[in-house]
Amino acid sequence: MTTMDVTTPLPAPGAPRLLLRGSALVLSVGLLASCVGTDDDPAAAPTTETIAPQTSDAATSDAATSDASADATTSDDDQTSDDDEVEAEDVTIVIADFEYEVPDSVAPGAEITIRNEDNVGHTVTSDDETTFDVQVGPGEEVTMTAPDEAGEFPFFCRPHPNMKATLVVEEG
Amino acid sequence: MTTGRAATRADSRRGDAPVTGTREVVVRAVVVLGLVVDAFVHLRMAPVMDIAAPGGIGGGNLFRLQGAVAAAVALLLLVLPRWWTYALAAAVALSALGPVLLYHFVDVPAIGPIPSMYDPLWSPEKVVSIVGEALAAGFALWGLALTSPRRGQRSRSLVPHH
Ligand SMILES: [Cu+2]
Repeated sequence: MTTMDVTTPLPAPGAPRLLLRGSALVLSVGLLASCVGTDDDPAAAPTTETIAPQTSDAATSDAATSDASADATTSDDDQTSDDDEVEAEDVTIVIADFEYEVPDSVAPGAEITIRNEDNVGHTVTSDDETTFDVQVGPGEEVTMTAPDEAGEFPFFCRPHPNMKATLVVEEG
Repeated sequence: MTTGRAATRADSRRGDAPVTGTREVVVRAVVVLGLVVDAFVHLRMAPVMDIAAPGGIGGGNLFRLQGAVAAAVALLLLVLPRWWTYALAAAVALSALGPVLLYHFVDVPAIGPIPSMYDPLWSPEKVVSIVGEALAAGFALWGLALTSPRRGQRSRSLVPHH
């Protein structure tokens, strides 16, 4: 058991009609196991345990753009004192009833709060499984950093691959 | 040394008389394959169940337990086709089939050490495991009927097996 390739359907179990002896049974079980086994390709898939988003050129541009986005997203809340929390509330992905509620768009490098209102854990995992891959436990709230580059980033939930949404990153 | 009468009685009481009919072998093959699918899917899904159901003893660990037990019982039944190994196989298959259906349709909260494992969505893995577990359970009950001591004797006396 190495990596998850959640989109690969497993072969259905065939009904072995012609197996008449125990040795044939052993053989068929071995065949099933091996042909099922070749379905995932551990070498090709990246490791999926990353918590923080991995963007190519790291912290410096990150900090710069998130400052810019903070200015942009809190412009009409400047009267309030604590703009850090205001920013967090503004950019939130809510997970409820096995569905994502995603903001229309977020600024590059923005800090995104992910709030999970379900009783089970979910992830926010980019389709390439490397741009971002964040776990959110049952009822938990975590933060992630949006990609630095503008674009559309489809993502899914690793435990529930039918949970899908897209994160749109664009300049304010 | 035992007498022939004693041995026969012991055989029928313990259900240890080997059953080697073609039908039994096919039934056994289906049960074993179903349990192998059951084991494979549970072991494969265990890592994501660590994420989805981290509470209590952990959904991932429950999946690993189910996978290990299903694999062990499949192997046992493969080499030892008896009424009680068929009963074991049916119990293991049903212990997976019941919960996967329950947690698909009902948002069961955490119960003591068992975390919430609700999942209303379909996935290829879920469908394949349900098919495997249902086949394993159904055919295991058939195999149980074929190998139960009384039924076995009756079918051996009524049906001319070669
Ligand atoms: Cu999920």
